[in-house]
Amino acid sequence: MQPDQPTNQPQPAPQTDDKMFGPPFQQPTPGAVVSSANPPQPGQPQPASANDAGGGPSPKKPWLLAWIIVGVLLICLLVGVMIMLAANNSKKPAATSNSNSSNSQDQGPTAATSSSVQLSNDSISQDLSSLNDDKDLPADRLTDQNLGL
Amino acid sequence: MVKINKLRLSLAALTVAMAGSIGMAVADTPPANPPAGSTLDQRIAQRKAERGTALNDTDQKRIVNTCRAAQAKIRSIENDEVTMLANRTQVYSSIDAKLWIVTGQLKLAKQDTFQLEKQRLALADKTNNFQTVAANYKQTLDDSLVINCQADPNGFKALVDTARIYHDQLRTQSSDSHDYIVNTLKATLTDFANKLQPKSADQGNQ
Repeated sequence: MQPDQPTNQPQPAPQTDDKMFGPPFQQPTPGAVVSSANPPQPGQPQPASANDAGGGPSPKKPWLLAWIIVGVLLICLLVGVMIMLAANNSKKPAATSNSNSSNSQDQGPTAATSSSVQLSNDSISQDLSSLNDDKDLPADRLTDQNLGL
Repeated sequence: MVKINKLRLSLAALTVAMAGSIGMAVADTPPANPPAGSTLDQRIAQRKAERGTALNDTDQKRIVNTCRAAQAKIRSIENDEVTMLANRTQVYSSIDAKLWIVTGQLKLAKQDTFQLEKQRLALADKTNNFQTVAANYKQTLDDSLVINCQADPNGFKALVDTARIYHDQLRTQSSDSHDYIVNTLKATLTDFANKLQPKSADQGNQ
């Protein structure tokens, strides 16, 4: 029968706790990685990391940025819609002011009256007055003298 | 002897007169529409035959020396006239459209529009003729620009002469259409306007 080991015998310190020399070669570990020597205990509060304190880019920030961009885009869209609505409203009065004349055209030709025939007659005169034979078709346009022949 | 001489003289005068009248007849022949799809050579040959162009040596030399500068002037004239002719066509179309509308309105007012419709058709015919002559005129100006005038002065002269005839025809037809609209169509419209005037109470009682 082997004698029992005394329970209060000091245990050799683990290598990781060697304060005199430290580990012979230790790679820097990123902050997010939890050291295997101190695994997180389920009931214990986690120590605040440097990221949580605002010292570097947090994983929540891209989301925040995205929400801000989406918000700005929505506002731009709203403003655009409002401008278009306002433009349409400003056009409507002009359309209504001509409604009398356009309605008469939409209903097709109306029966001639003395004034409507006279108006057409005057309009034809106006068209004719824009033609000037002497200016548009001068008689001497293609003479030998004009062409230098 | 004297009688024989007189007879000879009168025969010679008659021959000269006949030759002159034949030449005049050729020169006065109105240019025909070139066949559709005709080539430049065919059109030049047609114009030469129509105009009977036969330049003497002096005139040929003169044309050879001056035709290049003349072509530059023709190009400038053509550029101006294309716009003017398009504007005229638009004005005639506008007048025709107005006549259509008035005719419809007069029909709705129970008026007899037979005369007005006949006049509108006559104006449409005049406008179509004007457009045909304008197209031929433009084609002739184009040909006179494309032709090698120094190699074929007779062809160039025939084309320029043809363009002159078309130009004169355009002037005549434009004036004719103008007079027709003013004296006939507008007069008819004025008659309708007078007829449709509301009668006063005195006239209604009579």
